[in-house]
Amino acid sequence: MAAEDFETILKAGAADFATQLTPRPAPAVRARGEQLLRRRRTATTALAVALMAAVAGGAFAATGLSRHSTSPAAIATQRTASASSASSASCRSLVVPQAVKDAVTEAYRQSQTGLVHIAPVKGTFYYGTCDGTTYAATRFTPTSGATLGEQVQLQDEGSAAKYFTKPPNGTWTYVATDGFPRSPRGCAAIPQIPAPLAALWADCG
Amino acid sequence: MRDPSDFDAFYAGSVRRLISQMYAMTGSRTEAEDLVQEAYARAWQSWEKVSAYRDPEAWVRTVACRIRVSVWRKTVNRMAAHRRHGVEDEVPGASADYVAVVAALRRIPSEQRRAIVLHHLVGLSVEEVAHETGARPGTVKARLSRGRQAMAPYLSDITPDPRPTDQEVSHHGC
Repeated sequence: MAAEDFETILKAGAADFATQLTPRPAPAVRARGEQLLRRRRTATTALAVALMAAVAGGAFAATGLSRHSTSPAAIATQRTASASSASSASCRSLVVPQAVKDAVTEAYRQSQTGLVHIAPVKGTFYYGTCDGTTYAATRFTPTSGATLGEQVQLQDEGSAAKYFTKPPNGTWTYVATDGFPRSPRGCAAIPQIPAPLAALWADCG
Repeated sequence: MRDPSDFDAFYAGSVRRLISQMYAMTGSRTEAEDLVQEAYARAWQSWEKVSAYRDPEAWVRTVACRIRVSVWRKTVNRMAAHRRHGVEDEVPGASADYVAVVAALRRIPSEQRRAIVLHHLVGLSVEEVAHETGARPGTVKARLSRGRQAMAPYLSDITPDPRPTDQEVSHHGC
């Protein structure tokens, strides 16, 4: 076989080969997709239930009210309010400036080969400080211009929060990621995030 | 809202082509079918988003490649089996010449193989191959050139045993 013929053989062979194939019916493939979706939803629901139980239990302990008297929406509001304003002995949750979001995004870009077109997912950015070290957590999503590789990479990693630290006068460093499925304890399960800060962030729920 | 009929039409119109392309990349019909159908399942999972992409077929192909890389990384036993078996000598539905070309492809590094399949079989331009693989156009050109050069001896003189050695089989990329 002459080397220059290979493209002809490759194309003709692939075309012939394609006609001989009998792929699974589309409904069977969709059923597999639904199965994957259910798995993901089950993991998310389990996480939500665990978080609700933990938060409602904490509210009961602090107020003496029945945990059933607090609606999920109210819990979410309480958690947001406490996360934005509360502080513990040595940790504070802070309002995040755009410059911090940019620096953290750049730190993640630097740590991932080929990942350029990304931005934090709105509403997932946590920012705070403990004893002079600053911490951040967020998830990322592709932005316009993302390559297929980036889209796929972020689809694989998209549900996982990423964690960053910055020492005093230092730069942001990517230090940890959520596992899959994510721990029901949220960012409280991330050793690099101090527990008091994770509590202020409502476990990054 | 995901539209099953929209997905089914996309699937029917592209699945055979993609399996055939993945066979050229993997050398295994069974593996190509599994990878492509798993990639379509993932496409259906996120169909609202994927269907809005400019080229959903390229998305499925890229996902199939990534699944393959992931599977190779995780499944040591399967890797060992592939090292033992290499390319299937007789593939139902494939001509002997085509199997020989795929065997030659299997003997070159995976990134070169992917570039050659995308350029010469799928028909993508160098720039499009670069976009799909995340490489620079210059890198793609080099991979095409080196890949063709590396394949040449196997194409001009088909050997009776097309199995690559362990060193020749590279499982990075797709």
